[in-house]
Amino acid sequence: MDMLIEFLAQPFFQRALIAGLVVGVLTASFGVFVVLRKMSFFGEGVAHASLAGIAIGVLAMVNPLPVALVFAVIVSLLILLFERHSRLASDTVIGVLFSISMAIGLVLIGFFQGYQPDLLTFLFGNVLSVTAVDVTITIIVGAALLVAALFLYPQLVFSTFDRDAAHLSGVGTFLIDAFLHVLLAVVIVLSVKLVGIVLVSALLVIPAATSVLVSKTFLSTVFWAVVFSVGSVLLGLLGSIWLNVASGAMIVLVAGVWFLLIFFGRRIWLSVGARKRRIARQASTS
Amino acid sequence: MNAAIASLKNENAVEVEHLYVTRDGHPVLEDVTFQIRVGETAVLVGSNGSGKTTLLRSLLGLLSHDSGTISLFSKSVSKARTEIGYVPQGVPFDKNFPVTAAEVVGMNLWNAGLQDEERRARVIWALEEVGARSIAKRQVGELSGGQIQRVLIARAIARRPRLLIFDEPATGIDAQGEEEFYDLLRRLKAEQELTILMVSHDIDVVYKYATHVICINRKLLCQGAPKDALTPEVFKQMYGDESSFYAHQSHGHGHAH
Repeated sequence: MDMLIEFLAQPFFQRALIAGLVVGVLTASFGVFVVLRKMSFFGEGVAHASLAGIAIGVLAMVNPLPVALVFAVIVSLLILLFERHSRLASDTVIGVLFSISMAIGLVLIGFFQGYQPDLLTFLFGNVLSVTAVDVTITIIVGAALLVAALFLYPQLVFSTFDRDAAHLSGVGTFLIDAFLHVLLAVVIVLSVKLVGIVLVSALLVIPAATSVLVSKTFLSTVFWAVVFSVGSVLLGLLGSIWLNVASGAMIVLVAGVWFLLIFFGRRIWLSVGARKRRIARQASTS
Repeated sequence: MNAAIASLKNENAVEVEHLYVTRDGHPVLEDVTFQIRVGETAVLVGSNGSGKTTLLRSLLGLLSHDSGTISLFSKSVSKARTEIGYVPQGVPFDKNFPVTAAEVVGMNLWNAGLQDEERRARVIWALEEVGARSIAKRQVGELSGGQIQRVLIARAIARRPRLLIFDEPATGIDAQGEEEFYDLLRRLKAEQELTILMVSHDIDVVYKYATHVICINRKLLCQGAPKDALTPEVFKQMYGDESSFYAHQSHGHGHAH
């Protein structure tokens, strides 16, 4: 408890906490769309592609976050355009584009001299690395995204559920796809400093997947995804400081434990229920 | 002259003129022209690969065509969207999707200009109309094929359309379910003054329920009242070698009536 209060008093931890909470809410609520639209690989791809943007930022000696934001948005829209104007499947297009971007990033990194702590931070996430400017950007951009998504919420849900019917009712399905691509690209980049490129897509996928296991309605899926995600971010951040390990790995590990507990817990619950019913049936027939 | 007067009296729900569609350089639909008058129960029939799905998607505005015109209630497809209710084939979504039957119906009302309370009332009304009120709160993944179809019909009629379009309505439901489905259709049609268009590969549907039939095999082969339009010649063009079977069936049916 003392340790917790000590942490909470530290400005670096407060910054990480605020950024983490915002990022947790964003990744969980938009992650539900990622899971239901089967876009997990998109998250992975855009996260890795953002490495090139980060490398450009570091090389130009400016804040890499805005550069990576622009770069990731461009890649996410390219993925959409390539999908639409070719016969290639979505995962193929993502596979091609993200490898090109990642290769650009790695070539650029080759130009740096010596040890690059910044790049390690971006790869694996670091609580200490979150600056006041990062927190401000995260809050402003995150709030804007949430407001936009709330405004477009019915159209997002409808086009995710049944694309043709949504189109028929007047949903601009292509624009909604574009909006979701941009939104996810931004959320991924905002999360990169805390969670790291390598694991950021897990934060989009795991809490939402956990929630899908236990929810019946769309709203409850979003609600529980946010609960799982924020819980994972909080425990993960504390754990990473306590154990002095990369924050991204700890956050994802906590989220993974939630998932596994619920996955197996639900299985056991269902099989116990089925067994009870079977026994009751046998008792009533004999 | 008489025809002109008749067309003024009977507004066309669907009017397709000289429609051409090509896919990857191959013609899928060639010079297709037909009309469906308001109040008809029409069936668009054709074998697999006859272009009926392409025609359906063009009617719904989901596919662009090369030339020709499509009008619904004398309007372009995009302007007539709110007047169409569409019931897709089978289960057009992921069954694990966490939504309830009521949510599915409510989705289609996102831009219907209703307040929350009105929207809820409309959802319940639509589910009641199709006899699915009791499953409103069930997750769609738990429902049977027939129940899902009812929910999708409720979704379509919730917007109070004038034209209801079905894609292969008998898919995924058993014989008894099928009878119930057609009973429901007759009731809805009478209560809400609907025009109905069913797309089907099943010629039986035409004899049982259609007042108007449109047959295609890339080109328009026939249109009109089923007993006049479906000649042995048409069967041959529609089904090729299998035609003797179908012609026999239609012949037998003709005797029964």
